Amino acid sequence: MTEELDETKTEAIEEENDEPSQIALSNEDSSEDTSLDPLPLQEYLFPEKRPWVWKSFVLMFVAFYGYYYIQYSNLL
Amino acid sequence: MVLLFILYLGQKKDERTWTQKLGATMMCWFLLCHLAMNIAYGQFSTQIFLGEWYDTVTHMVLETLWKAAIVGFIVTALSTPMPMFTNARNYKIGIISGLTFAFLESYYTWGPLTGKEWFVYFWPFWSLAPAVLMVILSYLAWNFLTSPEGAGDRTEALTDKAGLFAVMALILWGGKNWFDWVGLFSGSDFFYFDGAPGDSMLHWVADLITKFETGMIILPMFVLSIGSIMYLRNRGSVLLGGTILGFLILGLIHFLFFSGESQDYNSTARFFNEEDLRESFILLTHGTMQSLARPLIVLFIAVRFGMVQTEHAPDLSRAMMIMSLAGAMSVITEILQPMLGISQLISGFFLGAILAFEIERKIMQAMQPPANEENTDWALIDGDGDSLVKWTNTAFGVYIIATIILGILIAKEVMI
Repeated sequence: MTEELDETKTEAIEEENDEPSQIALSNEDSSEDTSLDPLPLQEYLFPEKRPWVWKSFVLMFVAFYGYYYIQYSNLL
Repeated sequence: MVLLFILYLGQKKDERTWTQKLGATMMCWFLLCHLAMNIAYGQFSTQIFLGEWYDTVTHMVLETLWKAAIVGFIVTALSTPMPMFTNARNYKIGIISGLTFAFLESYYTWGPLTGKEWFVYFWPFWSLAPAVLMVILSYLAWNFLTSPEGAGDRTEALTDKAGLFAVMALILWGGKNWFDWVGLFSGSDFFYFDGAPGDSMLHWVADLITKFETGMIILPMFVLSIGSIMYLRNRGSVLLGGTILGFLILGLIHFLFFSGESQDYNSTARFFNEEDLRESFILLTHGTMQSLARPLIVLFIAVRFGMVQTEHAPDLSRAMMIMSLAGAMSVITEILQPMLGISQLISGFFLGAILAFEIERKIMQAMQPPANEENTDWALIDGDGDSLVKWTNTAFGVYIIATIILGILIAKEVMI
């Protein structure tokens, strides 16, 4: 309750001085903040900190289907 | 029951984002397919074989529902846990392309083309689309399971969320087949082909797609198994890591018991009923995943990712959880009975334990999304989310009606 009163008081004083309030400023900041926008797909799929993630997956994929292909070829 | 549960809670007005509403709707499509399959194939003592042209149309409708569910699940996987598209126009183009391809596939596999000499029986869309989905989900799961700590920053938190969804989705789609297919490389049965590759380009394409689909049934289990060991080492979560490893171990047991040339029951006969062991184990693995785990996993996905909010109906949610657990225990008891000779009363005792210790409340609480989890209402270019959900359902409806009309025309031999 005390904080609410303080905020109201601050707003009132700043409006008197024809200056934007602290609250208004912070809202404006948040509207420009793009941190909640969707992330680029690349950041999801290829994390910079762990470049070995996609490389190891590709390796597993190729090894799996490579082995599959060899087995299949032997049966034909 | 889960379908009705999600439908009921999905109608409630709350603070869910449009991607969460979309996810709930698409889960309903997925469950609708199971319901239709169960009705058609005798779960409720109704057989699909009605005779005349009804059979063709019914089979086509069942395929159609599955294809709608596949498209719906791809949309959910790429939007609810992580935003992979921001342009409504691109989204609509994707949905229309998918459904059109599925429709043309129905014409190909059921229509007059089947009488042509060059015809090769295969499903280009039905085989390829889930296989591609499994590749994407496997990679997301691998990314999540191998992350050393996770959730250190916003990207990691969202990757974790998408990864958890991917793990559950992989078990949902592939789990029931893992037990039967773990011996993929040991027998020639898995390498069937419809005509030798090289007979024609179409044979070659059909063979390639079929092999890719077959491989993507089993690759996710290996990826998850290796990932779960790393996950256990990094984060120490026995529940998730242990569950995944359990699939691998059960699959290996299944393979050792039943995939060899001669089946050796001697080692197990002293503990189990030898006559029914094989059937019981198949039921316990494949059957359990099909009838038991899938509804529970869908329930988990719907609650954990905020597609429905259980606080609208706490009593109903509690009842849903009790019924799911009691049903699960009843299935397991029924399957174990011929193997171990245990009594069906075990189900009743388990139900009593659930109620006495309020286990269902703890599980439901564990399913709830974390309070500080980010669920931003992603802004769309050229459209808004809620109308996009309605548009998707309408597109699915049009697609199903169009396929039914196509089925009738084919079955009545109008299209020859």
